[in-house]
Amino acid sequence: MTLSLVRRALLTAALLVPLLLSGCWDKDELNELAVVIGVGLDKKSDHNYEVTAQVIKPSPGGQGGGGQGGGAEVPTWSLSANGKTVMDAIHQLNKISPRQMYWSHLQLIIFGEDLAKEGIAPVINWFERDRRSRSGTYTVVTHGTAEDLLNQKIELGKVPAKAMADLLETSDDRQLSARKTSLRDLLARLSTPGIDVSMDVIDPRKIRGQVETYELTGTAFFKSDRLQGYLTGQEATAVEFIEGKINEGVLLVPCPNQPDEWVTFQITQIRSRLTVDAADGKVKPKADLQLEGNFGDQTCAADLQDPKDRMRLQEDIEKAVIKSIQTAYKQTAELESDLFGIGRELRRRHPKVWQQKNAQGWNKQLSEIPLDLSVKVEIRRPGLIFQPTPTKIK
Amino acid sequence: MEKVRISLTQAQMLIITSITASGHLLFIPAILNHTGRDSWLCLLLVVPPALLIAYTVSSLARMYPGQTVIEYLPLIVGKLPGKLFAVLFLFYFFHHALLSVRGFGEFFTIAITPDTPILVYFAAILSLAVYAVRNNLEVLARTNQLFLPIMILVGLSASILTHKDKDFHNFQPILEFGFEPVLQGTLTLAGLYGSFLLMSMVFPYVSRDAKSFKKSSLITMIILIVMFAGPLTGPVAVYGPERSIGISFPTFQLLRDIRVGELQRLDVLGILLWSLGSFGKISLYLYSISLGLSQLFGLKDYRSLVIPVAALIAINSLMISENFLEIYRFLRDTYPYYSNFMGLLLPLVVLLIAKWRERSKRKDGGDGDVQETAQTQTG
Repeated sequence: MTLSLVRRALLTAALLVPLLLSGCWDKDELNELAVVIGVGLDKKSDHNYEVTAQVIKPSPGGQGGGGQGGGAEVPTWSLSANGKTVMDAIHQLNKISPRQMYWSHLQLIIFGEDLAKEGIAPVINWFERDRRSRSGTYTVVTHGTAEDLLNQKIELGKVPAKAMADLLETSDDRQLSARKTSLRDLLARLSTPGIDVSMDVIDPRKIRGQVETYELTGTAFFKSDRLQGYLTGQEATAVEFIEGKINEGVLLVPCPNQPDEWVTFQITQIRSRLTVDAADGKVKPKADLQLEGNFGDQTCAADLQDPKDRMRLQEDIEKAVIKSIQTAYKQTAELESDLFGIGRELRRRHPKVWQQKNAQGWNKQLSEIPLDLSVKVEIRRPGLIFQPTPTKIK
Repeated sequence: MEKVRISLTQAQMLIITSITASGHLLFIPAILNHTGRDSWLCLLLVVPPALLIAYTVSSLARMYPGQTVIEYLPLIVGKLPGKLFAVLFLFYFFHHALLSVRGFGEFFTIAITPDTPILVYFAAILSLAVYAVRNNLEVLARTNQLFLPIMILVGLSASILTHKDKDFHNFQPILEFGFEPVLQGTLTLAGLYGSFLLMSMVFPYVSRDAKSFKKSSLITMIILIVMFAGPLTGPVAVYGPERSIGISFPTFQLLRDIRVGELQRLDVLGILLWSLGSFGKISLYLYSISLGLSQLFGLKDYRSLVIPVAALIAINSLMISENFLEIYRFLRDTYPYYSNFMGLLLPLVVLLIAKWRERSKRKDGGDGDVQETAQTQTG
């Protein structure tokens, strides 16, 4: 039987189409990739950066309950190389990695202390420019080297970089207030005049003599792209307070009348407003904070239902908050870091004054500008008990 | 002449697609670069010129119902100058088609698939466009009627999903660097709206009475201005005025950065948006250029021109510039003046001449043969 011309043409076309379907230029096969989950950036020598990429090792099938005790194999591999730029270093990494490194699932960028002090601007360019980058990637600073931080073996979680990202990601649920600086926040702040970057600090933590986990040790603050110092303890949350970002948090204050006993206050809500007044040419920043929260814990036996005691407690909490913010402000302002974005707020409200102050070097003047703080605390709820269990022995 | 009829809504939707598609992708960075934080002010300032463009194009269409701009130009300015103007307008359309094909290809090559040759994207979008255009304006209009609501939904959801990342204080202080940057940005935006001239190739096939063109054109323009509010303010609100300036595709970056719980990595929304939009836009331009050329040279059917024109577009969109930065710089520095001249000034001059002719004809008592020829051709 003979086919008509049209049919023959159609058949030819149908046979030709599969030729086009054989693949495309940009395919990535999963078994040819090494998924990079975290990256560490360090300074080696002048104009020489070290990039440490943590990739996930492909595991052969299910590991069938192979919990071999403490010495279980780490499912990640960290490879390091040096280069004049980040991409140059990655190029060197590619020489030692048999698989193509895949950057789309990057969770964490770690800056070593030495690099952060020298300035981070030169090393973040590639992370913005590459089409695989994600702006939600967290950025943190570590006291030591980033390479060292990535190469720790930890107990909870198999992938160190993922464990650190989780440390930040779930910080709210654990009633911590981490900065959680994402790449996008970092870039937005670096480019905006009148506000400086702050990042979480993550360090390896020794338990029983050996490193078993990571710890959020505070907040690193920058001036432009250079690390200036660290805020630790209660001061580390100062930026969170000013920006009103504390969703869950815990504050420790002494019991009324008993300075050795303590009450823990759980923050449940915060409202914050930073205003800058410069009507007479003098910059007067003012922050208004409203905190709401509950009783969390107390060691003293005092019955805190009494309005007088509660008022006093609220005042103590207010004082504690003011003290921690003021300490943080003094510390950062002295090192010329505008952590709270007072300059940005000044620019928004009084652009003329800002231009004048900015021309004289805004960050240098910070230490002469006092921050006016007003904090209002409301204790809303007592939890499941009104007062501590009355014990007979006093 | 083909008896093609599309509804007024379909015509409006066609022009909305063709202005927003690459407008949102390629022009937003140019405007942001000029005006930065005050870009939203451009949206207010652009209202008068944009409405003037809509008024000019619709008035001309109303004076010469049933005819495209290529057909009535010789009736207005005389035969030879009319052909000259027609060539200019066709060049303007052709140039727009080049920019949008190139922009479409560059978008994929830069942001999604760097190893794929850019010609693959040119070939893909142009063969689709050829197929649609050869099937007539009706088909194109109906396809676009199906696509545009999807695109608007995607756009709206993008602006809702990014809302939590937006800090509207980023728009303060207003006018820190004075009015000049805002005027620059407004000029760019007005230039983009200048491509509304394309409507003059579509109006003759609208089934409604030509009297309704003016109102609907003005409404379309207002819709177009509103549709640029999100893309112009979004990047500034999310990235801050300083950072938003240096991004190649700020609106695509916004989509990439959407992160609402587990809902993230929505690059595919951007690809969907600009593929559908570019398809509509490039098809409409291909149609208009082919039709215009056939009318310019007095051919019976435009269909034979579709494939050659598409091939010309593919080749020339490669030759139009060495690299993407050049295109960006052209859109930022040259395009505002060029497009305002072609899309606003020239049609306005043509309209004024037409009005003057009409008036002098009325004074003479119906002596002018210009209007007569126009009417015979309408019937």
